[in-house]
Amino acid sequence: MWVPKWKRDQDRGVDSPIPTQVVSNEEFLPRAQTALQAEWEHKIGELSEEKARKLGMERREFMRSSMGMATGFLAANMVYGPYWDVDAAETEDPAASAEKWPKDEYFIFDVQTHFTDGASIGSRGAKFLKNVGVELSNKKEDYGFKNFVKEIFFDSECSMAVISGVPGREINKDKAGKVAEGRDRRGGVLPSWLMSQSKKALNELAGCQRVLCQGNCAPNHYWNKRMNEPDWPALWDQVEREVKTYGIDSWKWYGHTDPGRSGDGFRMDDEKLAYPFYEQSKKLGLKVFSCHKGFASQSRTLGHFAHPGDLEKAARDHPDLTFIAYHSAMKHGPWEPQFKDPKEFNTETGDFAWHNELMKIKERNPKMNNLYCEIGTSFGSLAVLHPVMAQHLIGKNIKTYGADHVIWGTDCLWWGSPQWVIDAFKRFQISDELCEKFGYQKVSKEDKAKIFGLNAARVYQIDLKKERKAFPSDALSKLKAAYHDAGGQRDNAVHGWVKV
Amino acid sequence: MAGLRFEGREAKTQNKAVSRRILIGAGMLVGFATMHLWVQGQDPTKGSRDPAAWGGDHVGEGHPEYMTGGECLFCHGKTVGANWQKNSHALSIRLPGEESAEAKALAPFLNEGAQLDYLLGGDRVVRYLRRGKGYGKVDLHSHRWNPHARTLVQGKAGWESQTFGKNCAGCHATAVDSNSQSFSSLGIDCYACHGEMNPGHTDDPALMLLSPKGRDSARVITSICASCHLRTGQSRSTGRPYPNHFVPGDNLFRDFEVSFDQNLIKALNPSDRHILENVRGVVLNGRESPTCLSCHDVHRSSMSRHEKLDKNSKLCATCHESKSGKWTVKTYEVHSNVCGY
Repeated sequence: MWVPKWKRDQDRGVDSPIPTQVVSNEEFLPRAQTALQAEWEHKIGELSEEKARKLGMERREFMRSSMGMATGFLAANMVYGPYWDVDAAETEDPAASAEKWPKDEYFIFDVQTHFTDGASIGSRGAKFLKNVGVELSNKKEDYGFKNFVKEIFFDSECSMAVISGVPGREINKDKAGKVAEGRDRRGGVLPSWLMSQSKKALNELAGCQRVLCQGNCAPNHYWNKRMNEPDWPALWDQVEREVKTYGIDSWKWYGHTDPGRSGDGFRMDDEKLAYPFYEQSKKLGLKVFSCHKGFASQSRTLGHFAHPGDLEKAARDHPDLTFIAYHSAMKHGPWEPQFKDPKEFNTETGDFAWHNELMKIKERNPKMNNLYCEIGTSFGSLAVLHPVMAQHLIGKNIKTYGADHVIWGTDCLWWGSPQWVIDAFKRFQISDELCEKFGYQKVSKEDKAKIFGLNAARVYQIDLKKERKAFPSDALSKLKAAYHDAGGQRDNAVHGWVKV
Repeated sequence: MAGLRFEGREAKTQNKAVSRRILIGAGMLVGFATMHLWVQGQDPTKGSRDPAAWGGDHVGEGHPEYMTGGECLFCHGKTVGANWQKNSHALSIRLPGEESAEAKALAPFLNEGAQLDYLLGGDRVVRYLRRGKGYGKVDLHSHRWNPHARTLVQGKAGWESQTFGKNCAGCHATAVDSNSQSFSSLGIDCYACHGEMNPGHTDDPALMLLSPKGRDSARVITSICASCHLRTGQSRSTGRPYPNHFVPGDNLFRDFEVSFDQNLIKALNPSDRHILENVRGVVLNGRESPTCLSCHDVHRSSMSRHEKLDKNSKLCATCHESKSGKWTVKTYEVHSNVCGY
């Protein structure tokens, strides 16, 4: 039975700042809670009850504090093993966390954030209050841009974000042949025009650059059926529109989808489809290609286009372009039945499906410098469900690609506010045992700083000195301060579905 | 079927009341029907409804710019994605997989560099496909795999470029253009059953065809399912064994011709007979319930709904028989000239 995550938590009296069960990002189905997760959740409840009572606090209030977050990780260590860096003092004294994890220690730049264009994806349901004055409901507005700003910027430490695309294409012209504008262009759950409009609105409000956006246009989006090739004029019209008019900062490609009804997906190394697109984009000055890899098992005929193998030739042939493999090409999450297949995760080598193929690309091409691994959803879900695999994910990414080629992404607001993922990565470390056995390095603060934001800033050519100087005094920071002064807090509702 | 919607303690009373009403209604219906047939000289089609009398069609018009599955699954992955992977509709065309016995069997017959792209079919026969020349085209190999004997049955022609478009595309691909016999998506995409995406469906799911909250009439539901599962019909306008530009919501029977002659139906195998009898009940007799969806949970391939049927229903006897007090599935063979088995 599927229920919204918040509903399950409410029914069970759970109020954890960290999801104790994997939540669907709508691209996959989460599995039912495991025995260990249930134990973890029970432990969180037990500890938080005890500590809240000791401190004379309401349990819900306690769980929203940094002490609640620390309690979640402490409980995880008690169940899974000592994977997270957390001191017992942090669970009873906010100052201990504040001292150990200063808020401004890292510049956090999330390259995978989403909202929707008025589509409720069903995860919130009936109204209820979470003590922050926000009425949570299942209305489409909860998935909209306003809540995006709240959850990404007010409820978390995230300083910059990329509004990341989803499958969909815009209609160039209406039925009368007139060029469509704005909403008339349609474009799916999160169209390029809306990402652009939202980026501009937020940056104008802030007075500096807080948000970047991607464009959904891809080689198979406009198709000439007679010639069985892209409708080049229509495609280049849209490419130019997205780069010049929308001011997008990267493309977001889903090669395993076919919104243009071309009859097929496409490969990144397809010389007839993708390469002309690369050249056109270069001419317009846009050189960042973000591509969804992994998490594509729904389609029986197109899913294989989400395999990362096509990145090798594409990246080698285009050293002047930057390619970002989203989700680090993890094929199956712990929520899928295939995850338990021994072929999918080799405990002897630490390899897991499709991620290992992404690693092999770099091993075969040690000088390749233009391919990056993004960790959205992959890190968060493994941190919750399989901390050992989370260590392999990060360990291998850093060992193979280098800490300067791993990019921070969370897939939020599907996961609620990204703060719990941020806290998890701050506290993340690879065990001595795995370092010894697999040749991983301990993840240093310098590594984390690069992954959290410095790498993405380099890819997107952000003038960090200038921008970071502007952040503390910009309108967004002022609004965030006012929000917190007025009692605004992160709510612990996660936007997604879980199986019970 | 209405009784099935009630659950729990209170529902029992309601169910009893509903059952009584259904019994009385059914009795009256049988009485009227008997009288009607008697008056009509016992010809079941004479004087019955004209299947083509309602709704519209898109014959010769082409398909709309529908939303594709990759977009739909971004929101509906939670309810559809994993189940759909295992669903026989989704599996009707699939990647071969390097280790599959079917693919290995064909390998010696492929020229060097030639590629097998997809497998077609399932329980009865598996066919081989490769990408064809031109938009929405695939080639079909004349060799076929017998899944029961696990052997390759060799054909003579090798790769055929026309057969899939002429015979198979209508039901194994989406949005087929009858003129060019090309498709816009290989396999069965969401549009094939749910039609055009209504932007308002995020607020009101009932706006989508075959939505669990939908209010679709039996004839609309039947038209959609029958557009592929009614294997004895053909398009009047094209002569092909699949509909001409059928768009979900259309009346299939404005262009798709099928005989409802009861002698013909009786001669069919239980599977095809079951379909024809039920379609007949809806399109000729105006029956509103049950519909295909009353028993078939399409996304989940679940039989649970069908198991709720009254075991004494005449409907059951189409495919099941009682042997020594136990209901068993009848043993029968299915053959199809169109599908080649």
